[in-house]
Amino acid sequence: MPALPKLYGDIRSRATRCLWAFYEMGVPFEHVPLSHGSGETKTPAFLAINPAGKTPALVDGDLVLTESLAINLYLAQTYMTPLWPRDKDAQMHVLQWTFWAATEAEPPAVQLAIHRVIAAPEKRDPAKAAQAEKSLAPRLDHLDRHLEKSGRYILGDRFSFADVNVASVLNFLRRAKVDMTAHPHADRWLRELEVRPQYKKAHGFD
Amino acid sequence: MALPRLYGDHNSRANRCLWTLYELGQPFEHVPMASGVGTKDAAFLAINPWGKIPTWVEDDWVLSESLAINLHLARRTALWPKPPQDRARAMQWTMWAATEAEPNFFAVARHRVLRPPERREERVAIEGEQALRPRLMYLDLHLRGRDFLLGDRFTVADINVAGVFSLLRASRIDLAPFPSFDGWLARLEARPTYAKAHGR
Repeated sequence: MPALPKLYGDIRSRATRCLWAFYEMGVPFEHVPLSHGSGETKTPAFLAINPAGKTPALVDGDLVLTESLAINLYLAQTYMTPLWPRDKDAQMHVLQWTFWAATEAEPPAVQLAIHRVIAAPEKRDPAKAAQAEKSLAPRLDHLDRHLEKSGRYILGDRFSFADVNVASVLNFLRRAKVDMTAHPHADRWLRELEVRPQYKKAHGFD
Repeated sequence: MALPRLYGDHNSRANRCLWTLYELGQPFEHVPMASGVGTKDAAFLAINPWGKIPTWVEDDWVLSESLAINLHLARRTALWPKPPQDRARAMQWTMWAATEAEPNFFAVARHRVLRPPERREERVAIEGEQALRPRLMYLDLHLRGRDFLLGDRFTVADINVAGVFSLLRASRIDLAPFPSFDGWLARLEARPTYAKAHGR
């Protein structure tokens, strides 16, 4: 029997995105919850898997894959799931939203999370948090206007990897206390995703 | 049927998509809009509500995000690898370009090339270069003994990673520690399609 796919990275890392994907898809896997910052990701054994020493990393057969969102796209295309649309044009829109998440939404979202949630209180810089929040606003606005038109989910009626990949880079919004009143559609969409048992499990909220 | 249309000039991230289109010899209509010039006008927002270039239009179907457009263009062509594992690797390198290479490189390029001289801060450029170095090291290690990112074949992964480094030569970054990366980039820059896409 082939070995299970193995996901490296704990719930304090971007591995949460891939954990969420695995749980949504119901694909069995082995979880190796290496913790970054503890040195566990810089051991020779792990550096042989990922020379960058970063998590998440996925090992599936002889394929080693890094980059959380690329791992999700690989899982989507490799294991049967209704979360990966069959229509090619819709698949390209999943890619578009995934790159939008990576390049537009994530940088300010992470900056905000660092300075409002993740960093030790004495290392948080309120000015940087405010700047990140300001930069995030037009992004949330864009998402909001899109969801107003598209409906329940990013691609319309169907929950897909576009939702998983975008929502998973926004997973610190609540804890960072971002005011969502100006973005009611994005807020409604995110709330619906946050209550999914798979989302909670991936983030250790269950 | 109308030709597909690419919005964005060769000084914008559209140069990545132009490169792919020239590699493929695919006919298209080029609308060379400049970044920030007309991209927030109602007419363009009706096409791409995010108001950014490049934007790719096929009849009434619209795709944005330069690297996603390239993956779309490469589909069903020789630029897209056949083995599923190589496809996953091409996706990984494209994502790495977006999340690791581009932001760190642009921090340098902004302060050495993109901004007008009076708004450049060399201190910020030097900080950026420090952050970039481990990324270049990682790429250099990977390229040792390889002609291209996925081995001996030129693919969209090369376009997407090299595409984010289009301002590298002008950014005065010391490449002596990264000879494999330097050589790989020089080979790609020598392609006529690369020069044409960058208006050189």
